[in-house]
Amino acid sequence: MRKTYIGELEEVVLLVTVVLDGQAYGVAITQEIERQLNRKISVSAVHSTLHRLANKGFVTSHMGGATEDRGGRRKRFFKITSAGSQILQEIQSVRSHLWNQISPNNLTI
Amino acid sequence: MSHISTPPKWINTMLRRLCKEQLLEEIEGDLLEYYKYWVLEYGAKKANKLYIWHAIKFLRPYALKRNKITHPTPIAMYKNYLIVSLRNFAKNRVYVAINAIGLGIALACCITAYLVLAYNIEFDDFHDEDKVADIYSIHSHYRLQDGRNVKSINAPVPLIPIVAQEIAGIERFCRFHREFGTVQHGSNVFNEGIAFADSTFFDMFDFPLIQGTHQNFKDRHSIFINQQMAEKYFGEEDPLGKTLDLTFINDTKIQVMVGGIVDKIPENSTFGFQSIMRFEHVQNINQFDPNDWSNWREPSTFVQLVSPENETLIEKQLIPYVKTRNEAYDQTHVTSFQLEPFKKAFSRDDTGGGYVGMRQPSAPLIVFISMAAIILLIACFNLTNTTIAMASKRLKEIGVRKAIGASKSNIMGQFIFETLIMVFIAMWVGLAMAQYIVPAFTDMWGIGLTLSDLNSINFFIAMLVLLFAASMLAGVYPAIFNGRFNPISLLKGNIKAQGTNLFTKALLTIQFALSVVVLIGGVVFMQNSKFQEGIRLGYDKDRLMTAVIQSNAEYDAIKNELIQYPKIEEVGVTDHHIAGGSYMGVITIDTMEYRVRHIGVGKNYLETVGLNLKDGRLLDLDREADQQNAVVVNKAFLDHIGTQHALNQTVTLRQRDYKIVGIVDNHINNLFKNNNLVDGKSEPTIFYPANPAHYKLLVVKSRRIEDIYAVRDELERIWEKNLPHRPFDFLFQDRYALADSKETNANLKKIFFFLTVLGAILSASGLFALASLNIEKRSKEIGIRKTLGASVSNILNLINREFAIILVLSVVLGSAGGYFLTEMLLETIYMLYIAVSIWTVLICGVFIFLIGISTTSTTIWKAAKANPIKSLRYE
Repeated sequence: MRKTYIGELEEVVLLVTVVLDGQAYGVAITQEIERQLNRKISVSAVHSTLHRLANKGFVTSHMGGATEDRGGRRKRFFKITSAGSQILQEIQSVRSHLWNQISPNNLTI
Repeated sequence: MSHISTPPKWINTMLRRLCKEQLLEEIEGDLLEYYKYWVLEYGAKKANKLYIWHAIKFLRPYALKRNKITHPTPIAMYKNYLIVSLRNFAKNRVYVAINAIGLGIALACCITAYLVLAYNIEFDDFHDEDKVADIYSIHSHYRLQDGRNVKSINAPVPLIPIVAQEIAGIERFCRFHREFGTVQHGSNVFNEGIAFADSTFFDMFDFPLIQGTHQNFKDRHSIFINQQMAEKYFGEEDPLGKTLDLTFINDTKIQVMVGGIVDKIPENSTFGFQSIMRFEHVQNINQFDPNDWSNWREPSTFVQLVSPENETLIEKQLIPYVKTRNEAYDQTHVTSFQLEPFKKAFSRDDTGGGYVGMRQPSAPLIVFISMAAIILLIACFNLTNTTIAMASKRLKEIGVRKAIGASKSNIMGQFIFETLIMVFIAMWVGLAMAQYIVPAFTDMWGIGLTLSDLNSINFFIAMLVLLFAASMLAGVYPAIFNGRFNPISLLKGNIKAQGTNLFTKALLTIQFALSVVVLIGGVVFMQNSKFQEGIRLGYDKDRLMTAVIQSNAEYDAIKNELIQYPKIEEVGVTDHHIAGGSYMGVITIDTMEYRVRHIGVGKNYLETVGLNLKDGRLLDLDREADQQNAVVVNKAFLDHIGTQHALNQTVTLRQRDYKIVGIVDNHINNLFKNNNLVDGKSEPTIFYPANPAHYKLLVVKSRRIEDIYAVRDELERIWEKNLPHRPFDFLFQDRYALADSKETNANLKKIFFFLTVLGAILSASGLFALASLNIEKRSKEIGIRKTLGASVSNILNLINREFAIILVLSVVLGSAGGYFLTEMLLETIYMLYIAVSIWTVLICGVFIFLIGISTTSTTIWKAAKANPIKSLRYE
């Protein structure tokens, strides 16, 4: 039994954070989701999801260096924590466990 | 792009204010990054919009700043506000009283306007929503001869019984009609309006009964009456099962039995009736065949569908009957029959009511609501001005409050709170006044609705909204005004009471201009009612009187006895009557069609009313030939058809040929303007012989004007001797022809008088407040001037100058406005009136000016007379 739950959007954001490997910040994550998942999402929604993930202890963050692009404002980069990695693994294993029990014939489209 | 666009600054300020500091940098950074992308993609304008939208989306709970310090509920502070405001009110009793009364009257006006509004909003709330959900009314759409399209809630008598048989999907139907008749029980005889409905009426619509059962209506000879009517005819007796004897036109006698007593029906309902009986009797009374499509009596018709989805289907199936109807009756042309949900809102603006009640038309509604709003606005502005004036004495208080930590918003809150208390007091005054104003108003306009009839929850909400709206209107400006002072300069005494500024001056000018407008209106309507009483309408209006009869036999019974009375000059009988009951219709001359007024007359009628004969002769209806094919026309008729030699011309009227035997002078039906008017003065009119079976009005002319009361007494005596069981329903022609315009004039006069007094009081009090404020500001100046030798009149002139300018400006504006508005109003209502004279306008303007200037003068005079030492020692 898991103590902390993770929502679908949270899972996506968390995965993308891992995909971006150290370069994950608000805009990058948003654009990556739009590009890869073809899913419309606003930057504010991503921010609030990241905030929730941080509260649950699945991500940590640090401020990057000053940038010219953003009127001198720094970026906040997110990185997955071990708790975050663990939960992603867990989700994956639960899913594959379930998938293994499904015979292909039962999946009618 | 050559220049770099930046997002709007205010949105960033907002973000900075609302968002947590530690999150701000990343949020702003990300937004800005996106913004650059948007500018490239969509251009600066759309990018700005997107930026604002996304910035607003960032205002989520996680990102918002938390208040670090939570204040304990500041009850002590509110208590202090309350005490301070009450003390302050006690110190300025005169201002408070003026404002409470002024605002109270304004709120009472708003309550009155709300009553009219609620009439429409709560219309038919009496009927349960679910119960009538599948009931529809049939609307007939007509095209008139002049090309106008009108619709009305009625349908031909045979339509729905036939349709219900031929078409599936109609559960039941009900037709609703009204007739006038005489009701008798023992010695109680009165003329009454009676409603008629099919036996399904009480099945389709809920009407609670006090006595009896709804089942009794299934009996053809039952009548249901209301409490009031039960008391009128039966007094203390138990009315249930008692009989009433009814007499209708064509001398139809019907005996009915009381089957139930209906509980009170609200005035704003589709069905309002004193008594109701079965629809089948309408056929007997008017002697028509229920399957005859050519019958012009079209009752209001309602159908209950098996399911509401069938509406359009059934509407479609009604189309063939349009043709049937038009072929049978060609006086009006029906274009379609439509089904409309019972609860759908229609007003008299665009829909004729048929025989049912309807919502109030929107034009007077708008007028009343905007009038109430204007008065409320004036009263609120007054409160604004006086609050600022009163606050000027409390600048030190504000300074101290600010010095010990009150923020700008605290001070604003305090002042708005004070205004709220003030408006609350005024609201009680208003509610008390409404007890008098509302009945006076509803009596005037014949709306039988009282405040107690209204839905109390709605009323409470409306009052609450009114309370806060008025407080905000009046309170916001003083609150901002007082909140923004710098505490240091306040305590140092650098800031003195602010004098009049452009804002308050403008408010005052508008107030006085409106006072002038309403005064002019009142005076002009007073003049017009005098003038209209003196108009000769082209016949012997002042010597005529009428009484309602029901048959030619009744006329014959008393005619001879009447004519022997020496003070009576002529006696006649008629169906229609000048100034009432006639209709517009189409006649044909040589295949050309003309639209003229039709007046069906009886024996000796034209002689009696005294229309001036110009050519030919009048009708002699004792001769069969005249009764069959003779008509008389008026001069306007000749002008209308464009000939002067119409004598002996043949006219086709209702498919029958008539010969014009006489031409009479024009007369005036009534003083109201109506759509049918052709040349602006008199209508083309044809007087045709009415069927003697339709005679319903006895007309008597006295020899001299002074004799009319003696003639009336004699008429009544002869009536009672010969027709003891018939009610004596009598009117002087003066009342008959002018009653409506007299009433309109009187109503307008009352309303304008009321508004004038109200406007003058409010404006004068506003001026008083402003003048006091001004003197306060200049008290030192007055003191110095006086010590240097200025006289009281010098000072009066000096300070009055500013107000004189305001007053002159508002008098000029008000006079112009009053002139045009009143002229416009007169023109839309009446065709004969005296125009607004320059003298009236001038006198009204000067009058208001004098009121204003005397208000300021007395205020200034008091200050100017005061000992200058007092004002110089001040501080």
